Amino acid sequence: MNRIDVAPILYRRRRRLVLRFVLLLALGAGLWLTLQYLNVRLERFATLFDRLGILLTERYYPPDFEYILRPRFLQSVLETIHMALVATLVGLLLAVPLAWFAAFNASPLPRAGQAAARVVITGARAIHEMIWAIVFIMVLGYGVLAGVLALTLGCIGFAGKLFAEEIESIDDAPVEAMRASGAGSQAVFFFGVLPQVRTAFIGISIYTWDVVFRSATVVGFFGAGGMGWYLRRTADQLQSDRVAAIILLIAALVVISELVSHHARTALEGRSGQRVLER
Amino acid sequence: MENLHVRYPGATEDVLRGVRLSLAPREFVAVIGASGSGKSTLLRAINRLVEPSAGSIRLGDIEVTTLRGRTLRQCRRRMGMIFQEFNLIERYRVLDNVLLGRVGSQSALRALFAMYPAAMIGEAASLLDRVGLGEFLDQRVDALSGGQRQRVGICRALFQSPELLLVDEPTSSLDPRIANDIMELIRDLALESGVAAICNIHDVALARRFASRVIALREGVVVYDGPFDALDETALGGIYAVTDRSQL
Repeated sequence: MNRIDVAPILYRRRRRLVLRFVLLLALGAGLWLTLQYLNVRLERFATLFDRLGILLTERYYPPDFEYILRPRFLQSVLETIHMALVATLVGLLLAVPLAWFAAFNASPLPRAGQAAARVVITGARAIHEMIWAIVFIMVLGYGVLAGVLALTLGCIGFAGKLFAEEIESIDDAPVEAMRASGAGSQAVFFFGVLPQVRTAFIGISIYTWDVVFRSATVVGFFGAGGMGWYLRRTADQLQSDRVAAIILLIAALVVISELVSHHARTALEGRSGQRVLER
Repeated sequence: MENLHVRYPGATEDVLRGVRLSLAPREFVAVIGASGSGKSTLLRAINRLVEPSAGSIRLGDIEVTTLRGRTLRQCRRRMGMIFQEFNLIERYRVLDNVLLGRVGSQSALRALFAMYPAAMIGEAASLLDRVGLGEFLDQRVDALSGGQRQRVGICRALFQSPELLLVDEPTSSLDPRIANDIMELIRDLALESGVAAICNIHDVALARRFASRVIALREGVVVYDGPFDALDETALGGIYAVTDRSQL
């Protein structure tokens, strides 16, 4: 019987262990150097919660709830919801074809079309919604339109990338069968690709709504419509009780939106789970 | 098919080398050969899922290798393909999967909303009934067994009303009894429809049972083309590169 020489195995294992230790040490040193460069004084953390407590109790408490129940403010809340809704729907409708063109395995125009779609998706994602809002305000002036456009671009960048990644991970077999039957590229997409990504697309769409709605509550900070404008005005006028009420309302709306999304997602997953059991 | 060569992008050698063969209407031909001999590439080159690098393929009076866009799609509709792994849309119902065989010949709007004429739906239902799936029309495909799925795949290919059937390892994922039934079904339906069929198959005994003619490929070259009767074990050993007869 041949005996295995364990010395080289032990050597390789020790070498891997040392490499891991060196890597951890390098990460720790990198973090410490970054903190030094940023001149972060860690000792200030000790007083953080005391100072926060004083600030909240002396300036932000009690919140002025009467302010957020005024008709004009409530109108801005409705405006925010509508902005998010329009931006999400339009953004998703544009993100689906863009993702189709951008996906390397399904693009009907594999060179020019794929490159153009990727430029649009990456460009939309590379710049934050708030920066897009400032850009559109400069071009179109203050108002809802600038906000909706900024949010739509954010939606295209976010959902477009996730949709394209889903398409790129599909099983090519049904696509090959569709092509073999002489189907055109639209038919291949609708019947070979979409049925495979439908559940994932719905999940991504719900998640996109969460993200867009959260952004919609603050684009108004720059004058792009919605309740964000009231947040900025009260903050500028040092009306801390009103700022507190608005922040609490934003938090409540985001929580409600996420609860609705969570229920929608659970309902969908429940249905797919049941189908798996039916097999 | 004349002097057909296929080389995959980035490869240094051809997968198919100077393949020459022809099929008569209603002929049922088996293609045998070891894994990697080029059988699947041969079928995919015929309907241009794989691009030939040289040579000629003719379907009737049409030169397939020069077709582009719409004309290529029209030509593909004349060739039905049956796949080893069925390649069905798992989430779709049985009937819808079969109807997809003609989605390319529908207008864009009809195709988008899957609006098929009643006569076409009736035709698909009859075809499914013919293969014993009449009770499963509204069943999702992912609820079916392997043999049932392959029957759906066969119906989808035949629903195109093709002139040529390309059959790629239709029984590899099935047990021997079901494999025999499926081969019998393909042969019978091809004969009934007057369609020529070219069928890749690993199981030589199964091929011998159903095909009238055999084409053997070895390293991308046709090394035998003729009736099964003339193919003895020594020749088979050469095709599969085995010396032990029990391995055949």
